[in-house]
Amino acid sequence: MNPLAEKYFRKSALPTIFCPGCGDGTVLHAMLRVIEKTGLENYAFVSGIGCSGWIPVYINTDVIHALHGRAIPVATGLALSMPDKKIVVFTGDGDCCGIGGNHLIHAARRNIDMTVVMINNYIYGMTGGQVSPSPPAGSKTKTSPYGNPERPFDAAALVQAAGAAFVARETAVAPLRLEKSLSAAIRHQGFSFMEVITQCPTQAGRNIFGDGKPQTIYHALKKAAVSQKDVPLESGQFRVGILHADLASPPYRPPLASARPI
Amino acid sequence: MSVSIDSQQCKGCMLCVEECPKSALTPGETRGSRGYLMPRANNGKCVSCGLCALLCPDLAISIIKEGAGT
Ligand SMILES: Cc1ncc(C[n+]2csc(CCOP(=O)(O)OP(=O)(O)O)c2C)c(N)n1
Ligand code: SF4
Ligand code: SF4
Ligand SMILES: [Mg+2]
Repeated sequence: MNPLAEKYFRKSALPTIFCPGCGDGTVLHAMLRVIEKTGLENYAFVSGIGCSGWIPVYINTDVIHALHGRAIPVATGLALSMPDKKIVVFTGDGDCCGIGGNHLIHAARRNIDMTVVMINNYIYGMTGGQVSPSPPAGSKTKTSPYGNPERPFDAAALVQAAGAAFVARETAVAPLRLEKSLSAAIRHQGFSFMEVITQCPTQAGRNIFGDGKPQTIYHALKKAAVSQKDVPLESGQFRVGILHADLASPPYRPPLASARPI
Repeated sequence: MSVSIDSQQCKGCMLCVEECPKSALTPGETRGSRGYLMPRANNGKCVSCGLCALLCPDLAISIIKEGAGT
C-alpha cells in the first residue's frame, strides 16, 4: 500500500467502492498529498451521494456523508459553526449541478468559506449511467439512448457568474496538476470551486466513450485538456488550470451577536 | 530503484502501464488477492519517477528508492 494510504486511510472501509480504473481514487490520492502538507487536524469533509461521495469516507477523520444534493447546505452549517476548520466538499456532477444546483450557486454568491470539489464524470455513475446535466451535447447514456439533445452546464462558468472568487478545473489523468490546483483552492479564503473531470469507465466509458476501458477515457481527457490560456479551444476541448482568482473578495462572516436587531 | 505493487489493493486497471514513460510496467499474468490480473514491473527499466504511483486510483503502488525505504 502507498505510504499515504497507510497513514491516512480508514482501513476498515477498504476496499473502496470504486470500479477498476475509476478516477475518484486518483482524486482521493491528490487530497491525501495536500493533507500531508497541511495537517489532517485542520480539515472536516462533507460529501453528497454518488460514487464520488465516497471519496472522503476513506480518510480516517471527521466526514459527513450527507443526502443527495445536500452536501453544500450541510457544509455551510459546518463552515459557520467551525470557522477554524477547512471544509472540503466532494460532490458529483449530478449531485452538484442537478439536484443540488441551487445550493451551489448560493454558496458561491454568499462566499461561504469552503472548497467544493465537483467530480465531473459526465454521468450518474452510481445509479447506472443516466444522463446528468454535464455530458457533451449528443452523448448517449442509458436515459438518452438517441443522444442527449440538451447542452451541458459549464459549472465553472456558472459559479464564477454567481460570484465564486476562486475557480479551477483539472482532470484525474494529470495528478500533479490536480494536486497543485486543489492545494491552491484549499488555501483560498472564501468559496472556492474545483471541477475535476474524471474517468468513469463503467458508465461514462461504456455509454458515452464507446467502451469500458479506463485507457480510452484517459487518452480522451489528456487530449481534450488545454492548459495554455491564450490558445483558442477546438470542439471537444476544455481549459484546465486556475480559471479565475479574485483574492480580494471578502469571505462570508456571520453577523456578530452584538449586531443582532433584538 | 523499484516499484512495488500491493497485490491486496490492486484492481488491475492497468492505467499505470499507460502512464509509465519508461515502459517498465506491462500487463502481467499473476492475480492479486482481489482476483484481478496485475501489472508486472521490470525494475531494471524503472527510474522511480513515481508517475504510476500518483495516478494509481487504488494507492497500490509504492516507489522504493535505493537505500531510502519507501
Ligand atoms: C433524493 C435522492 N434522489 C435520487 C437518489 C438516487 N441517486 C443516487 S446517486 C445519484 C446520482 C449520482 O450521480 P453523480 O452525482 O454525478 O455522482 P457519481 O455517482 O457520478 O459520482 C442518484 C440520482 C438519491 N440517492 N437521493
Ligand atoms: S460507476 Fe463510474 S464513477 Fe462509479 S465507481 Fe464505477 S467507474 Fe467510478
Ligand atoms: S516509477 Fe516511473 S518509471 Fe518506474 S514504473 Fe512507475 S512510472 Fe514507470
Ligand atoms: Mg457523476
